[in-house]
Amino acid sequence: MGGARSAHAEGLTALLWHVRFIATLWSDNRHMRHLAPLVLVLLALTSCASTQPVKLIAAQRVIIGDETGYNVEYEFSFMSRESVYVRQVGPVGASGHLEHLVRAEHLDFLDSRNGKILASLAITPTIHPSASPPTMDVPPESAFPTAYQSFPWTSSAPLIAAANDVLRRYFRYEPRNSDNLTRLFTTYAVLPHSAGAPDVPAKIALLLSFPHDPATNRYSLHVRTSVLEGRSRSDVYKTASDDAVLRAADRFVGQLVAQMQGVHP
Amino acid sequence: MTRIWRVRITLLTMFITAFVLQLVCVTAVYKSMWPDEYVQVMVKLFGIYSVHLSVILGAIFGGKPPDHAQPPRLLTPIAVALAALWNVLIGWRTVAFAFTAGEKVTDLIAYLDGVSAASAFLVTGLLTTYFIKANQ
Repeated sequence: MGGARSAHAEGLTALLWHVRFIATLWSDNRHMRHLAPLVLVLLALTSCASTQPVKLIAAQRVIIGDETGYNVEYEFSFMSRESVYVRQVGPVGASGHLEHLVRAEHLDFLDSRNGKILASLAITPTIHPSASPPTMDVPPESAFPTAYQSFPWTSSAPLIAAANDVLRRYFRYEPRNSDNLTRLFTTYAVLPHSAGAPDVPAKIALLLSFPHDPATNRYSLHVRTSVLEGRSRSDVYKTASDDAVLRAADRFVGQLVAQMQGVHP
Repeated sequence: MTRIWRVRITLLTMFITAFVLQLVCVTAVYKSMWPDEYVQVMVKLFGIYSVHLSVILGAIFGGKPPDHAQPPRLLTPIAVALAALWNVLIGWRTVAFAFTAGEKVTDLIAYLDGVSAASAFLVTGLLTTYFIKANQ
């Protein structure tokens, strides 16, 4: 309800601006007087349409582990705010475009972590596969070794937005927010590694988190990797031990982080 | 060398050649599978051929056939053809596995399991005729 009221308030503000604009035209140009009501109605309609703060672009039902979820793509824009808090994702900028996996039926946009709901986006599938929903192989946290690589976040870009832009090129990912810490679990993706080991296919999944260091008042990016290697004539993947694969995984993570930081946009 | 021996040697050579060829093919691509899968395929091939080779080698080392023993004249080419057919049925899949990218070990093992069991009738009778009864 709070989100609906907020949306209506923003719509009303825009509508009032249009009314003032038409009134100015009305008084300045007598030819406009005939068209003014029509223009007013059209502008009112467009302003109402454009002030929806969240918009679902696409949603596809998927299987995540044993649960049903969605791969959802949406955009949001909250005027007069600097940031919002998406319950399943964490803090994000006031506007943006995200695509990720989610197990909920709707996404809640709040003004802060425990604040009021600004808007709620109901997720209804827009893509209907003819077969059963695709399965997203999101590994559990136990699949990731506890060791991680840490990168100081030097970019001015918002963390989630930068991660979203880069991750979606290679993976699907599921954001999970707990203890005020956002963690992104990716699906496995084929790990491109240099020639020399053609019989050793490999795949990699990432667990990204963005802890805040109060000492330096800066965020850092922690990356945990689950690297699996297989054999070209086998369906079985095992934890990677091949040096070439592990080196390729490190290179891949380095490239991803550089892309997130905007070094290689 | 009597005719029965010529037939025996022909069949023995055919089985051993097909068997060794398949072992070589699998071994040539052992790096493209996990060690336990390689062992699994090898054990499977040994299992398939062990029955037939034990009959053949057992009969050869078990005794000399009587000099008057003669194989059924008309049935000999049929027996050789059936043995060849069986070896081709089993062998082509293993050779294809080695030479085709993207083949999976699980598919090969499933094929060997299914086809070897279903096609055993092709060779069981002829091996009995040429290697056991001929000694009696």
